[in-house]
Amino acid sequence: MSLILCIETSVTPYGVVLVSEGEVVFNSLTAAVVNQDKDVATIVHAAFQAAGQKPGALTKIAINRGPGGTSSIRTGVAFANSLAYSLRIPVVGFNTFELLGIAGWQQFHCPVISTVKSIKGNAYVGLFAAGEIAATQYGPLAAVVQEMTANLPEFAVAGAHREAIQNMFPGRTVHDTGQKFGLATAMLDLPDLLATRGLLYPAFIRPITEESSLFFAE
Amino acid sequence: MKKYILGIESSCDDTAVAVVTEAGEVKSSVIASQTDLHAQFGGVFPEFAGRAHVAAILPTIERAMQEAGITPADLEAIGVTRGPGLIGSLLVGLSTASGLGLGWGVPVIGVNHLRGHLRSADLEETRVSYPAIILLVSGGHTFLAHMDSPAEIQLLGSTRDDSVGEAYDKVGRMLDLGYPGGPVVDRTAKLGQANIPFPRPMLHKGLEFSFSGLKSAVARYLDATENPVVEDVAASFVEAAMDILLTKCRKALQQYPVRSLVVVGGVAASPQLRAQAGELCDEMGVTLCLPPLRWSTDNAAMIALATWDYLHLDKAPEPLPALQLAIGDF
Ligand SMILES: [Zn+2]
Repeated sequence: MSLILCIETSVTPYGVVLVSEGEVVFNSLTAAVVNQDKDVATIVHAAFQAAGQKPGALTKIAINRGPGGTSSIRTGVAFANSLAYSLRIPVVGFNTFELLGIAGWQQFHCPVISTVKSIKGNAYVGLFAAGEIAATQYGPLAAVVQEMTANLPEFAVAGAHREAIQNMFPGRTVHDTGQKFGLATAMLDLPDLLATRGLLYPAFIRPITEESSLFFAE
Repeated sequence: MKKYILGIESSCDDTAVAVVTEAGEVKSSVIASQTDLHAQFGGVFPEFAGRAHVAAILPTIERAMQEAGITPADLEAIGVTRGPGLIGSLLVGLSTASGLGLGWGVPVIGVNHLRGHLRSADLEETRVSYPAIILLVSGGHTFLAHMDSPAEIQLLGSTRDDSVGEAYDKVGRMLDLGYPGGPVVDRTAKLGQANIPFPRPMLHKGLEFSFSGLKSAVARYLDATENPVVEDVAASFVEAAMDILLTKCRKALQQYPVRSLVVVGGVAASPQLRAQAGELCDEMGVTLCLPPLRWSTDNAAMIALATWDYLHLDKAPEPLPALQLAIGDF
């Protein structure tokens, strides 16, 4: 038996996906029954009702740790942690670069540079290739992207600064994924991570912040 | 039988969880303090407070449940602070409570932090005889309220600007005494003479308070004075603050015939306030109720006790943030 709850709160409207035996049985972004402006608990509640499932049947929870909206990420992580804790089931943390990366990889079959906005000209930047994160960095957008793409003849861009990055490399092939945000359903396209990365209390998920030393560590 | 409420409080810089019975018996009360984290900023830094709550909240819940020796099946409800407070901090407690409630199948109620403070005096034993006047003095709030019963609350007057706790913290910083300012300013004050005539803003205007004028007067004095005597400045500041608080209490007691005066909140730790409130109550013939300090500062036991009131009154606000709650709100 497998019932997995995937939650993505890095951006509104939040994405809540319920997966039963490998099949999506509820997706808040396409379900008409859901008021998408609601808080994560209300949407998750609606997910169980719509799918005719009980929270007690969950076997795993997956959550995006960010980066993204600071307090919305924290809200989703706190909720995922406590729901997993209350049911004594594992909670799996993904990051935004993995969710954007796998989507871009499937589109263009080349490395994917994803960016998330931050303050003071800084950005979170992640490089995804061949099913995993190859590099992540927090710093001034242009400098970080230049460095990270130095040896890439071809790559795709996703996230906040797609246009700016394309303009930085007029001579190179830079594909635009058109993807601004990660999707909860992308977690299902990373089945190995979903299967192996689970944390059981007393371990739990921490949001990614500019001081995370970075995302591989946990 | 379900006979416990789990209280969760994360409105500011402490992560607190408690288990309390209907009679106010505290089965457990665990507080993960962030004081050390914020000391380096000389005040609460909201973004870091939110992060620290995420790290602390599950272990705090686990410990509170273990110390109480109960299981989720023993819970009647979960009560969680919904406001007032820092949004980033409140959201962690609220989301955590929602997740627990969903997983455990326990109702989750959003609770007004101020109602928690107002009920804190009845934790562990029934101390308040109603009707009562209650003075809440803390870093976040300064107000006087009238209570006919635990549920019937009327605001008499609150601060127009800073809370008295903020004034203490700011004066503590101006005098280089460190953060938090309360205890150290009180201690320093005891060593000095109250010989500087600081103003008592709004002293004779109703039951409202104002502390920013007093704080600015201290700053001006320090700017204008060569080699100020730190102890004397502290003593003069504390005397002025006490004068404001006690004058308003006296007025309230004169206007409203009550059986007790209750003083709660972090500043209730002030030995000067405790002593002077005692003298006032003796003179006015009312009982002074000073709950133990651990219930006076932010804690989750008071939130849990207030949650029982919500159940009795059939009030169940959703566990969503509400930053602008007034005293009478649920
Ligand atoms: Zn408080």
